[in-house]
Amino acid sequence: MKSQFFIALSFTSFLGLSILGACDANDNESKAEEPQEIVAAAVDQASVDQRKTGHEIGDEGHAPLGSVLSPNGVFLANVSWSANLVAGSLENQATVKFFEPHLHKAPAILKSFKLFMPAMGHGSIKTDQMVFTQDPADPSTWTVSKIYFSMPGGSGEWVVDIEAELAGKTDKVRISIPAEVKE
Amino acid sequence: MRRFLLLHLLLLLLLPGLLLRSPEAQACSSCGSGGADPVVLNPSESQKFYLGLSHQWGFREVDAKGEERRSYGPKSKDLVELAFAQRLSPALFGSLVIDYARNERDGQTASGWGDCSANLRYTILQPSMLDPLLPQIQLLLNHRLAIGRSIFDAKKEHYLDVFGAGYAETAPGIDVWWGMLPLVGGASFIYGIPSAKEIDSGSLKMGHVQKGIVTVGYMPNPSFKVLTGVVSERRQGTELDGQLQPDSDRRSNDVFLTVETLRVEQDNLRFILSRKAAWGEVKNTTRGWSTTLAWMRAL
Repeated sequence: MKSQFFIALSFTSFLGLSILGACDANDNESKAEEPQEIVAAAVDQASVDQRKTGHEIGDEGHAPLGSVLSPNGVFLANVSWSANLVAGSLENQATVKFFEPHLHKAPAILKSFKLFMPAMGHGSIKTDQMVFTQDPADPSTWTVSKIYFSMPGGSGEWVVDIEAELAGKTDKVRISIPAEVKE
Repeated sequence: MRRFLLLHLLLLLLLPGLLLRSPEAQACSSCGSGGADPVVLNPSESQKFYLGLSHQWGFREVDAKGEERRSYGPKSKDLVELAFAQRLSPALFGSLVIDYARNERDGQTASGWGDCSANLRYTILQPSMLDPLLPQIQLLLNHRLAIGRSIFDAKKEHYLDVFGAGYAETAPGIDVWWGMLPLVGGASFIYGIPSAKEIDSGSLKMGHVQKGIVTVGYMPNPSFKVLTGVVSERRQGTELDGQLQPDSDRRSNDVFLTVETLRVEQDNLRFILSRKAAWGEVKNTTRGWSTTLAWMRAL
């Protein structure tokens, strides 16, 4: 009688867990099938843009060196970081500048700024505390403050995925963080 | 922490006493290295309860280049692992495992439930006293449910509130075991297929994992065995929104030592000392020590 009860209990538990697992898998599959146009591709923008326009990269009002073209060619983004990036602190800050593909400043809307560690397969925490501020005098420039790195990382170990909208089109670009995030 | 260590110590002190008692035991037991599932039924057992206490410490991160660096996460972890195994037929049994963890760093602690796993073992070849060289062969199926808080939804600094993997994973496998002679040994192979996980950055899919376990040991008498072995784990790279992330594959090679009593239908103890990422090429993993003391009771 006792063993029959345990058998019944175990069987019911396994059945329940199997159903839960199936639901879990179905949820994940349906989300994975959503359209995803956020492939990030870093471009050697300096050489490409110089060929296109003849402008020296870094001229005032034009995309500086290190700007990255979004995969669908909607905008160029350039990020400069505050000195001494530190893990476990909300003191980190970045300035994001947007440009049109023709290298002129573009008043893009910064929609998201997400940190990610590709090798480790995870992002950061406390992302809800991040603050985006658009420069009223220069709408192509945004300041992102209260950036929190959940762990230290060497140069290039952290990246940021930036999503922005320009002229009704949204695109997403990945930019490597060249500085070391210290402990 | 002190209470946990005291309990650990108490179980350790009980171990020699149990070893000295020598009731008749069957010379048969599966690998039991804990590489796949912690609780394994002998052919004569129909139900078994398992309580394991683990202490993990000395963590060091190993990065994508294989270089070691200081860990930014918890400095130590304590786990209480509960499992129950139930025979479903003469050749098939299943087990459920769940753990409760406590992380510590610089005096700060956080506790929570880890992941839960359901396991099935089907014996396709039984060992025989008539032919001791005939191995036991079992097919394994493990499914981990991502219940515990993971690195993807952590809130606390230093990942103090991370207790689970964060993604479900289904893993079939095979376990071959020679346990009828004083010199015992075996090998397991497990292939894990993770489910996709929606995170803040997009749809994350961890790579498939291949895990191999090779064990050798000695049974000086039928109620006691000492095992040592290696666990080699290879996980393919991570995909975010369908894009393979550079340098995200993981490798770990662990080593373990197990001391276990094998008294049929009575209380048994198991002690495991293991070193994660101990040898060979390792990357994107955590190096560290772990001890586990477990009590098992066949019902």
